[in-house]
Amino acid sequence: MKKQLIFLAFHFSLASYIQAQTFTISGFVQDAETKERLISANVYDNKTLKGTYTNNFGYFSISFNKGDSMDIAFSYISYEKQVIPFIIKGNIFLNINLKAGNKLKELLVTGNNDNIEKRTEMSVIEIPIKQIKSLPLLMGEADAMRAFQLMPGIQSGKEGSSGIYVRGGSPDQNLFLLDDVPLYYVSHIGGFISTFDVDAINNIKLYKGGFPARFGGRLSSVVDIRMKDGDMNHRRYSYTLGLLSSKLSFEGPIKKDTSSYFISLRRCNLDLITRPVSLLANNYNAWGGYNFYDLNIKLNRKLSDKSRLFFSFYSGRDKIFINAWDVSSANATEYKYKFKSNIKWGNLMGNVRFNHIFNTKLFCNLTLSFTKFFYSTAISSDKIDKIASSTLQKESLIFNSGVHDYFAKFDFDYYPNYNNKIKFGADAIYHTFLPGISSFKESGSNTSMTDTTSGSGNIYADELNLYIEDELKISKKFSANIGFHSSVYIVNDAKFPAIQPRVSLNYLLTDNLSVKGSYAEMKQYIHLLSNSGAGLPTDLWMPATNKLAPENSKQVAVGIAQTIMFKSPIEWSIESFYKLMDNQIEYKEGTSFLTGNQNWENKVEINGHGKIYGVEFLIQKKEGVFTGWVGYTLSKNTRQFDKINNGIEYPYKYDRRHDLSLVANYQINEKISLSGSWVFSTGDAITLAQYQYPVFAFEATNSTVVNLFEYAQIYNGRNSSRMPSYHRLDLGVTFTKIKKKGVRTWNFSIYNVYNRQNPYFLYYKKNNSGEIKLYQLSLFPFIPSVSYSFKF
Amino acid sequence: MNNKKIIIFFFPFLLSSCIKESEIKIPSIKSKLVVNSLFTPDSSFTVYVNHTTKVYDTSKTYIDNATVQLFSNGGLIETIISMGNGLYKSNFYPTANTEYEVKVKANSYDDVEAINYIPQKVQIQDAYWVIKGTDEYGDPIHETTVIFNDPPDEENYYEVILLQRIDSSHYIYYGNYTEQPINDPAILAEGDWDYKPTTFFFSDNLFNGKQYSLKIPGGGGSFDNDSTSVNGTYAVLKTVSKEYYLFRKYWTRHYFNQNNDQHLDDPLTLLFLGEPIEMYTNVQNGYGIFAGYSQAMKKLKYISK
Repeated sequence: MKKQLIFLAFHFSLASYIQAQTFTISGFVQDAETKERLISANVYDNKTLKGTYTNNFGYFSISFNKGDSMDIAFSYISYEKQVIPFIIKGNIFLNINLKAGNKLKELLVTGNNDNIEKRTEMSVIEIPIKQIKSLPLLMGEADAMRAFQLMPGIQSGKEGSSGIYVRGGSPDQNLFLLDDVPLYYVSHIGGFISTFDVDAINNIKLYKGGFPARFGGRLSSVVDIRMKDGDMNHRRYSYTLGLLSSKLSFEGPIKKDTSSYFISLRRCNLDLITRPVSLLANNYNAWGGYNFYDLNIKLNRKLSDKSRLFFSFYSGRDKIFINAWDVSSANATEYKYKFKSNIKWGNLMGNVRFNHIFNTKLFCNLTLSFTKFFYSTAISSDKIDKIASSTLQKESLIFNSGVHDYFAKFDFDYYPNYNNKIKFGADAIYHTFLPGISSFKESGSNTSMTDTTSGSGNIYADELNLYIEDELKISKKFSANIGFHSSVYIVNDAKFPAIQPRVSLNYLLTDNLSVKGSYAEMKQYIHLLSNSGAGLPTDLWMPATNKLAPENSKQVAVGIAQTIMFKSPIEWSIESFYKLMDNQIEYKEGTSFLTGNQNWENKVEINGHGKIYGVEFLIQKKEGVFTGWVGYTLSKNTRQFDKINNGIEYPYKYDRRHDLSLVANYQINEKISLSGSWVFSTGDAITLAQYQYPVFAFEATNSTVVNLFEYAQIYNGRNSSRMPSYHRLDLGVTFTKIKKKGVRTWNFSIYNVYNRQNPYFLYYKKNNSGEIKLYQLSLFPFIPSVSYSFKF
Repeated sequence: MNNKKIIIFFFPFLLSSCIKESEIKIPSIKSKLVVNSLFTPDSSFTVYVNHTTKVYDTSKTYIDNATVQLFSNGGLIETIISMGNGLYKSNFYPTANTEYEVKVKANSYDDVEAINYIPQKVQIQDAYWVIKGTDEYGDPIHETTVIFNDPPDEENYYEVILLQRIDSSHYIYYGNYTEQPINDPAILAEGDWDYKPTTFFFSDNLFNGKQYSLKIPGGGGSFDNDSTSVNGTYAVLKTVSKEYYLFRKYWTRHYFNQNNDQHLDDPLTLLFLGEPIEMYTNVQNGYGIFAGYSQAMKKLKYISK
């Protein structure tokens, strides 16, 4: 560690020396019309292709020697490139306004600093929001996570789920950052759609390996999501009506060019149907249903050219509710019974961020935030004397569990010279885990008062993180991102320190072909106990403790990438990776969320190991009238626990040897666009009975006592069988029309066009002829959907 | 209860689902011998011999031409003869604390063998039932107490069942109690109640060498409570070998998580079903169970609160 500090001190001294020889061009790149800051926009010299890209706040800084003459290009996907000539005489600060481009016009691209082979980072996926919206929809709902599932190295879980399994990791190993703040629960309707409303997102980026040092806390991926800031110049409104949900968003300036707001609300439509239907079905004695909502609010204000303040807020909640009542008579008295049940779960997140540019080379961001995941059940029943109007008995049962965190975080971007881009920072997190607490209250005029509370109390933990990374250009052809993420986690009397090295390397073999490599160690101080795979709120988040050590991973990846220049560039890449994970947890054999009525710590097997390796292939066209990609992953994913499967390594349930996605969008004209996707994957690994034999069993029925024969099943090992292969075709068409007052969009989609019956669950059953057969239950047949949106 | 409501939402998806015969081909593996024998000093030795079959194979599995040999202390006691339908019955009565070994050979199958013993019987000191209260429908809730002294300084395993004697030679098994709550520490510590066990099995971990009062649901209802009658409800305390205990424990969890349609109408259980687990066996090179037990029986008294 001492050596590393000396190296860093030397590095900074050298950077300061070089600084004296250069001047800097810095500023922000933003949308010309809305002034929305553009993240990862390219800034480069058109002649030499020397360049950089904007950070998460649209800021860039690039140094040149005094007297240099250059044409600085500013570009961003789907925007018109802007080129400005400069002769460097001093520091320059500017705001660049890029205009959204015409998708129908094929742009001649001769070279770009942002091409995949030029980027130091690897294993990163960025899908433009426009492209996510143009994919075929399920139930009229565009979903970013569902779009990512179509990329190599990222798999879906069970059919219909928006959960992601990145390079063989489980869903809890994904870090979802919304404006720099983690969200714990990112699904609605048991994983059917994600909580991220694409209308509220400015940019979304997924890291599946080669993690930069600024990220930490999860093993398998980082999903960095940035909410829209809001239009600084014009008020805009939009609404969308879908089968599953309806959305409304509005944005605009609070004070023109100084401050703006963005508000979006999405609400599930299901309860609008279930409320009246359940009321009718229960003779007007009960009604219930399910709904969810997502509310995103963003405010931002320019305090000066160098300072800006942001406020972000997210609230999302799912709710299942039942209300029932009944009237009965006894002993000449009429009683009314009321029953009410509410189950709620969701996230609450808020943050305040302050950006400040100290000088052209130093950008700082301070974040203060909180995030909360909650799950609660409240059940109450009242017995009321209708004549006397008095409550005779009142009972209530409340169960609460969740996690809340408070954060304070500093991030600095330091641009000492052209060859170095240094990021460093620190954060402190105060975690509160509530594993589950119940309270029961009973009161009334004819019963004694009861008030009891039981369950596990709060668990508190502190986490401190420090990081430093340098994206350095070692030579014209060789670049690297080298960093360390250091963390310490303190829970009860246990302390878990860790230093996690991170390295990404990129070497240009030719002007448009590079080889890449990366190594990353990650640490995760939280476990998710889940066996449904459906992303239900009953999944239990638990802190690392002395008994359950933090999870670790080590991942190495190598790859090759190239951009081939046609009218629009086509990127292709091949990456292979090898990932090892330690301290994994799993339910004990036969145990599940519902069974094995014990403390959660006694239900799990600990010290498990995961091993995942594979090769990913991606060819992608991002611009032009025809866009899309082909992604293919060949991988193997195993787990090993001493007390599961007799200690023998076994396939993970989502071990899929082959995973192929074909995605295409075609813009016929300005009004009509077509989209389609086809996916194919090896069937999931399952533990399926293959053979059987008779055993003694005692029947729990009132029969004569005999030792009856039942049948034990032989599985030949955990997950030793395979479900049939999964494949599905989705198609969509979008009609866009410019009306007098705005833009109207209709989307028609078909999920599972050829009605493939993909298996969800397998079981044996005797048929009518007395033969035992293996049956499969399938979900989601051919599903057409429609959505309508209007923007004005 | 609460989670059931969560699953209400999933019903529409299940309703829109479809079921068809699966196209999965089950790989062929060599069939193995299956030996089942639970032996006790109260009965002569019986052994069932079968072979494994594919899950959907409904043909007979018994083997009547096997050579079944019973050994004790290394010496052959008897070659047991077939009674047909896979049953091999001896006239030999085993005794407690003696180790027995069975060796079975049959045609093309691999030879199998298993060893076990019968633990010493533990007597029931007292057994009675009470009415604890009434349930939500106003029906009485019964609780049975079985008191016994656990031998010190040794691991002991037990199984308790309740029987109703209906005449001199017939008993009715008293079951269906797993829907009722249980508070007995020894049963709870096993962690098996959610898997709907059909008997009560437990170890002496919590009361080694002490007297224990096992409290279990059931015991009364419509049974004959006349203390002078031989008919009535009986508690049976089986002192079982560790292999017998593991067989019962694994079977309960194995059966609950099997790949069959038993949970198909219960989406809650279906969604949260645990991973299937292999069944326990102590038969070398084959499958089945070869385990001993001894048992004590006592008629339950009714005690009014």
